[in-house]
Amino acid sequence: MKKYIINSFLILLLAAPSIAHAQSPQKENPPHINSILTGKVVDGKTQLPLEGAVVKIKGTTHEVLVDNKGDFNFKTGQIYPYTLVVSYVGYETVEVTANENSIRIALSTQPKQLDEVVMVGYGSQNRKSVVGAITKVNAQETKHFPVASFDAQLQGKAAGVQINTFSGTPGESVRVQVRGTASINASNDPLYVIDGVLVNNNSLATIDLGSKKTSPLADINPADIESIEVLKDASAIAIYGSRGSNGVILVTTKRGEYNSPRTKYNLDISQGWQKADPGRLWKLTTGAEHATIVNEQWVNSGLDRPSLNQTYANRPFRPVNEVINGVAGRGNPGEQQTYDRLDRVFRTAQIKNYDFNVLGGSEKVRYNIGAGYSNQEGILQPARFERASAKFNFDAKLSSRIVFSSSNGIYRSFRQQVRGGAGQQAGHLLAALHHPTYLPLYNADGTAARGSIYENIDNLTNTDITNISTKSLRYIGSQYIEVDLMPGLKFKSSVGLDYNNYNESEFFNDQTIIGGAPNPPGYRNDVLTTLSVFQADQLLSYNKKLNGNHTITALLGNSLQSTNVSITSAKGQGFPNNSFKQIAAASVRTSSQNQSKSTIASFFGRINYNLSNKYFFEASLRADGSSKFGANNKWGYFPAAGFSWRAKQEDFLQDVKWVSDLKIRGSVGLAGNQNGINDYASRGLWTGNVQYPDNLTSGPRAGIAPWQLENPDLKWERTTTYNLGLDLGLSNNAIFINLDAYYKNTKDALLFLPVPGSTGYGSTLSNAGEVSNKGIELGISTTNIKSQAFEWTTSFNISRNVNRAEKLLTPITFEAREYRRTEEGAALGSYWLYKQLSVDPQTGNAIFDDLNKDGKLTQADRQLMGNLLPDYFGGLTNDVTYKGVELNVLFTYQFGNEVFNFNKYILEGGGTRDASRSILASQLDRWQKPGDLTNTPRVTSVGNNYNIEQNSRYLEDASFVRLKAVTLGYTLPATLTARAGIKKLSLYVQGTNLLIATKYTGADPESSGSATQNLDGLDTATPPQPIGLQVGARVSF
Amino acid sequence: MKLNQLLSILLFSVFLTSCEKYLDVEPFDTVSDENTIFDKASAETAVRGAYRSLASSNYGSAFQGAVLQSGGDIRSLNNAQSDLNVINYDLRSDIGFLSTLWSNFYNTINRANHVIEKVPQIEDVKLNSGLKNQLIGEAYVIRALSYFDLARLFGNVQVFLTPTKIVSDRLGVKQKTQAQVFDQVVADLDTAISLLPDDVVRNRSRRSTALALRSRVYLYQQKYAEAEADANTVLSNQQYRLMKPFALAAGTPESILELAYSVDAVNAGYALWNTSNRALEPKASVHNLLNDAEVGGGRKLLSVANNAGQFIGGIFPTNTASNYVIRTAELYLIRAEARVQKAEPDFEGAISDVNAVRARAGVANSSASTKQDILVSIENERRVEFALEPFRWFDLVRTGRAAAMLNATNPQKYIFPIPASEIIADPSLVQNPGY
Repeated sequence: MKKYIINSFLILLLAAPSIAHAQSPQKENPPHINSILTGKVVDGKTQLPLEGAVVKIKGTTHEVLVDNKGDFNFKTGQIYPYTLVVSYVGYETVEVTANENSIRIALSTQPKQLDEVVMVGYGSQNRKSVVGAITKVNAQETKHFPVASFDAQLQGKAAGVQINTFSGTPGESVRVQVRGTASINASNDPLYVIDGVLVNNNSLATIDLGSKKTSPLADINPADIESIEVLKDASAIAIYGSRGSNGVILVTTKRGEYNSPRTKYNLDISQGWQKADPGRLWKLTTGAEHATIVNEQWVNSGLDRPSLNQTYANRPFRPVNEVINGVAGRGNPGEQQTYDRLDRVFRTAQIKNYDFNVLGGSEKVRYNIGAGYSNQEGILQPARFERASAKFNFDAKLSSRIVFSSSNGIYRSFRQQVRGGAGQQAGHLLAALHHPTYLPLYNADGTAARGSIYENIDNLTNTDITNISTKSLRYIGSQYIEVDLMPGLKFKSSVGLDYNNYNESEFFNDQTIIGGAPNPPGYRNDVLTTLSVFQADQLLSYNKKLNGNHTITALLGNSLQSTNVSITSAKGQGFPNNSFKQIAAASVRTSSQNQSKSTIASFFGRINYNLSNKYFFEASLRADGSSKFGANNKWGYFPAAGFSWRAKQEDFLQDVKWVSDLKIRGSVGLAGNQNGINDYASRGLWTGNVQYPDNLTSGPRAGIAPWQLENPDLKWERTTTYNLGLDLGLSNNAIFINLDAYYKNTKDALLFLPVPGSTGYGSTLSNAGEVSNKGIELGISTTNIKSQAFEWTTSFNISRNVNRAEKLLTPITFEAREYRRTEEGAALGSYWLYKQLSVDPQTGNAIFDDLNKDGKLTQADRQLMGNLLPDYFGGLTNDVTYKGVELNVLFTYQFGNEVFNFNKYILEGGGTRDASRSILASQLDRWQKPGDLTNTPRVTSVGNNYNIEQNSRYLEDASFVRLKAVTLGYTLPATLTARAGIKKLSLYVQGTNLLIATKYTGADPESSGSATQNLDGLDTATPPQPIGLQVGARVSF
Repeated sequence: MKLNQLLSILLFSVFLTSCEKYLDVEPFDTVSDENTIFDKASAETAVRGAYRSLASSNYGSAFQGAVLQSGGDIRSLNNAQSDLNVINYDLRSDIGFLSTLWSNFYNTINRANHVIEKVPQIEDVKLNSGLKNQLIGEAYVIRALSYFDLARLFGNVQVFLTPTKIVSDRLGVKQKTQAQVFDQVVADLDTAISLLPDDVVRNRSRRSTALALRSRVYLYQQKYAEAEADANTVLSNQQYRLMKPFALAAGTPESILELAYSVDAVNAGYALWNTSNRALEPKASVHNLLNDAEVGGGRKLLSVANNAGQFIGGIFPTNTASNYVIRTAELYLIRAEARVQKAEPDFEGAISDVNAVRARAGVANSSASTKQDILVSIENERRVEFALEPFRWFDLVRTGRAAAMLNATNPQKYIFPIPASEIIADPSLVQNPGY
């Protein structure tokens, strides 16, 4: 209270000149006016005028609006002193006593937990009345982070939402998991709903990107987004029925305001630079070290297995003039050069971003018109992501009872792509990283050398030689009409469309492996994919306040959605020369086309009952019918119920001053999952793509073959979620705590059951598992210091999820190499490895855990070790503002997860890969002589030292704490900028991924993801998330 | 409230009636299980589908890579860990390519089983009995060949003679021994021989194809007189003869069964050997033999040294080149071996068969005269004649010479382990001893 008085005093002092100035006109007042009050309403932090704030004299109906300079004035019959009530959306309402004729009122922003509007499925609710577990993220806080898609910007911001960016290449896929992994083979991605449209979140990439996928959400311009809500518990997600069980992310785009006093123009410009942290990039052996290791391995192997005929005399790195069996030596190790390829593929990348929007509205119309352009280079050459977008949101009150609303976003994005992964023809990064360092880049005649199985790195970074790119055109929009049928009853009819036009092109000229001899010269492959999601919703909503304390809200609706995918591809090989790049010029041309469709029909309803603003009850039910599922199980029913109790409203807590808010929430319900399942998964199918000739001259003729076994019983995964939550505000909400505990039980999990190969089928999709997730999420936000000029707030969240395969008919292993395995009773995401205990100091041989004590190392000795899912994860944000200066610091972290460093397994192969792959510098720690204490065994191709792929030696702790972003912003004083006609001018500088603390030896502990589900957890080497610096300006006028 | 009720009734009645129709979405580019093999055209397409799998799955890169490397004359340039396991005769059951091999063969077998079960029931005037028998006979050959290779690789495998309808039919079925599987293979070939016509189609199966394959199987069963008899029948047909000078056999009388590829279904073997991106290389040992005028003769084109000193395997000139399964030269060498080994040996006939193969490669006659020498000369001839084809490993195992020639001393390792993933899927499968 004392602080407040001091502050008010300060404000009065500051306002003194205007008080003096305002005195003279008072004398001309007509007699019936007892007082004339002029004043100013400003934001307490920024001191900027708050246009549109409402000032009301308490106890009267007299109110005025604040104008665009922040000024207001009353001519009133009231006599001083009287009380003013000042309110403004998003700010705390204050009451101020007016004693004299000039006053300056500073409003402070409202703690967001209190009265904010929260989007829920098919509607919105006031935070007070929310029953479910819903996290709201203010997009303004994150939109400047230099990543392409908004989901990647949310890391560390929302409790219970684990977000990992696999790669430092902009526009590539991001893993988002809400409350753990419930599904083994169906997708674990949440459902994304943008302005009511259930949009496509599956990458449309079809060309070989080496297990990388593009992010479909990168199409959407983060600057268009007003807020993001993450729906987590049953009462929030069950209304989305068969698609809600992985959580729902609701995205609301910006809209104008009715009766907006003026049109607002905002311009955002930024420029950034990014580079890989040199301290974290891989360290490779020099040419000489590489040769030494290979020779050592050669000789050791020869000793271990004499029939290999490998001796010191015929070692590969021997003097050039020693020709054995017609093969010359490669030169002694000391003669080998070292060629740095990483340096040629990584660069300092530039990022440019421009966003412009116009917001406004009259009594009957409101609008938001936006345009954006973003150009982000990847640190890995030649990757680039470019997006141009246009946004048009428009609402009109057609009559007093009919509202028309239109939301439209058009996005054009271009990706210059890089391939990931291993393999002979793949990998921009691996062509640099895995190429042995002793092999030269160019042959003596100046042509590009390809000593290893990889492409020459300069052939990949030059887009005239290798060019992989994608153009995506996307429209997401919805239109609706809402009619007030009678008081409290509204009918809304909407149509939504998500249209994706995805055009991929890859070209390799005759200098490359793919397009070079002996293949026909040149290779081009173009694929056009169109995906359209069409959605039609009909909603009836009813809101009725019954005699005082009872309020009922009801919703009844129907939704039809169909998804159509069509893929057309054309391929050409054998071009006249490198100037010809169109498929029409190719001598060999092939093409393909296919199409797929699925439909969902739904009915749903929800009832909310509010008793005295203290007790809230909610019940909902959705029925979904899906074309994907078996004839016996087309329809699924998803009920949910929840309650909340605002205990603070009870009399017994009214006097407990230190508890400023207390709410208890609980819910239970059922939701489903069908994402990631083939459109015709339940059917028995034969394929037609198996031609064969009838004789030597007939040429290929059409053939058919069995493709998929029928499963008429196939149905949804069903997840039952129990949630108990607590919202607690302490000492006037200076401390606000959200605590949620949940238990999710997934039954009928969709599994690709490993059917015996003897059936002729690889695997069949069945409902045959049970998975549980239980966890706790804690979010704490505190206002540490708050004065008129200075404010320091902290928000912290931590989540813990424990997951377990409760029922599984047979263990399921993933990927051909079977690094991961899911067993009944164990956590999903466990690794299945041979455990290397130590390296025998005497022999240098790796000692493995012989689990069944049979003296042999067999598959029976493999064990579940570690997990790719963290024990704890979350984020910590600190926000300090002082007058116009704002400092924001974000840390993200996760603990207790492991990554299989597959890249290390390949590059620490003890020299057995000879000239095929480079060798990591860490290989130099190998055992060399009796007595050596090391974890890296003696190098040899014989025995188990380097022949066990699933060796626990490569499993590493991937916990980390990352200084994700530091943002320093400054808003110039309004008095200064006003002269230039500028309402607000902010400048900021932001550093991203500045520091990371981790024990992980690969480049980035987050780079273990894969676009292919269930290959997560293997780090096959991807460009790390870069260190970035960006500067930007935001101008409003 | 009346309007509310009215609207909801309207909504629900309209949508409920059309919902079931709305949710019934037929696939565009695959057909459902019910109407597959029912007339002449569908019978023909189903047989082609089985051939596709035979060509692209059975004899894909996994089979060639594993068998060629096991034979000791071919090395992998990938230096993958699984390659080390192969060349050290130290396979573990959880190495990925094993389950690929296993599933590929059964996939083809399932396709053949569909034909064998459904085509006999077709009543279509356009499908005359000759064509009907031919299609069924071809499916029998495909099934026989698949089981033969499966048993050569894995030894003890399950045998299924009907198509898969539900998964549970395939669980808990006892494995048969390699000898029992070979008996089944011969039975299938007997049926095929009775059904197939006598014309010559080199990329499909005909009577001669089945006879040639049965001759090979008899050799494995050590039924030498039968092997010789079948070889005689095939070689009596002048459409199967040796051609001088030596050249790749595709489409010539040197080819008995070759598998066809196209731009849409390429020969995976091409990528194994192709020069810019190859995975396999002939070792110096076999390269030198092929390039020795006294041993390889004209067959030197199978391994050519380039300027960089690399040996390029030259069996598939393009990625649509045919893959050889049975060549005329093999029938000569089968007959030679059968003639030496049969109850009343015919050394002269044997050596003349060997010399026939040598002569057309431009190599002088063999001087072998004793049983032992002739057998060694046959073994050496097969080594160079089939240098890049998956023969040597099976030959050395069959003749008991793997220990001497490859230093593969543990006979338990002569068959691969049953893939671990298969045992997980069907725990009743028994792992081969030694794994």
